[in-house]
Amino acid sequence: MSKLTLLFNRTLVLRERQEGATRAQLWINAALVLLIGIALGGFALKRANLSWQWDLLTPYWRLYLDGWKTTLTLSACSLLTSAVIGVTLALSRRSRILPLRYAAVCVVEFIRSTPLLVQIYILFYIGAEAVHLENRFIAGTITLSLFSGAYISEIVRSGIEGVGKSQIESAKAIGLTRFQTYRHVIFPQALRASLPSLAGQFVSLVKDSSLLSIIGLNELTQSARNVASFTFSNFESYLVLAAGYCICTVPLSLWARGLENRMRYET
Amino acid sequence: MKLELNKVCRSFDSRHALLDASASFEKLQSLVLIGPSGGGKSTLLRIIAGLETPDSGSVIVNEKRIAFDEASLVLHRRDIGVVFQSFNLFPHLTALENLLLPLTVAHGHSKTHARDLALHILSRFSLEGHANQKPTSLSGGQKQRIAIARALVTQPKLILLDEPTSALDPEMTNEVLEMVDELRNQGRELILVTHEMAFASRAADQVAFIADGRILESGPPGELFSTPRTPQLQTFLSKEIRR
Repeated sequence: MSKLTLLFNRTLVLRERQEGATRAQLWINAALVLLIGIALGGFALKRANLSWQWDLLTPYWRLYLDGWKTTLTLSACSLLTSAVIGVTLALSRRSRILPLRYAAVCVVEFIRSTPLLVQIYILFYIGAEAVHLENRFIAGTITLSLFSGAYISEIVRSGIEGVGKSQIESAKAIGLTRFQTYRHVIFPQALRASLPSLAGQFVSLVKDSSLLSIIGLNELTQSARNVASFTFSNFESYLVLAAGYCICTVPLSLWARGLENRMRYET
Repeated sequence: MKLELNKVCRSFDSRHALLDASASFEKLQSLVLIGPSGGGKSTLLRIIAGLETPDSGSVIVNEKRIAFDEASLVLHRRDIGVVFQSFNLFPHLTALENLLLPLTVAHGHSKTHARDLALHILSRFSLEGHANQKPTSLSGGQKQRIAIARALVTQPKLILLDEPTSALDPEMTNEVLEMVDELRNQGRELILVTHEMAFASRAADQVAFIADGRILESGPPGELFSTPRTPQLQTFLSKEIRR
């Protein structure tokens, strides 16, 4: 009996000072967790008494694909613009021009303390209306970029502030101008330090794009909603939706994880 | 080098770091600043380096009065090499890139020319083996020698060293001091803040004793160390000898 306990312990628990799991431990425990997950899910499904009707969805694969493509382009565009907005806001917040600094503070704090849903309504029904912007894709990209840009600006700002005063001092001492200091000393280090958090923010951005369905933008969530209402098969259509987001977010997450690991070894 | 300080004042939050510091040195090759911590020597060095702005007073280096507006300061700093106590190498760049940055960006040299200059300096101080290493993989002494090489590589008129050995182990202190010795022998003009009294008396043409924000005494090291005039210097020297 004690031998069995020992074997269990050896397999399931990391020994003290053991850095990571061995290959055998990884496989056994991953399989274990997967099994438990499937068992729980199966049990819940059985109790909920659902009947799957996947075949109902097949006629609508085109709708999903179009939605997925829109989500992908929307996310990619927003990712780029939000990075630009984020850096601009972060720099404005450090600017010596006070109106610029305070404006940046207000924008960032407003965006971070209100729901995205409200911002989408405000920007689309007031902002876009005021400038006669009717293109939902562009309006959506702008809203999402502003939202994500506010969070990115905080990430970038803490990255910039993480670069020590002594670094800035030696940049001055070797005769760099303020701009050159940012370009060659501050940004490369700040970017490196904030890449993992940035990647995490980009994952959120992809998922946040789902809220844009409320202004009738035909992205992936809107497609799933439509399919669900055509076929009355909520679970099936939303599970496909989840899978569609995973295709975009999992690679981003893995990339972020990879970056984090690399950073750990470098410092 | 000619250095003239006229009533230089600088205070931080109502604490006077420098209070009417005045002195004048002619035909100077190496000046060593000594004195108790918090006495104002680093502040003075940083003002000469153009990294700190005095509240009042003037600093004249080689007949040229330092103008303390940002645009003039950038140009002033390019004529001066600074070595810091804690090395301050750029951690994201290799040793070689640390030398290339001032050459290419601040001084506008071409990449190939900059590379030649940098590698030349590195090999002159037997540091070429570390050219492609990042600062994290170098010892303290190696980092400081690279930092000195970075200060030299742009051929500055004047080199300022702010306690370059204070953050080092005794054995590494030596390798850095030898390098400073070599600079002196090459005829480079330098101003050095140090706690190493033996080194100060060996390396200095002139020593200035700074305490309470003032330059209390200055003169050739032999004279200053054997016959200190002010009680402050007497106490300071007796403490330093006991260390």
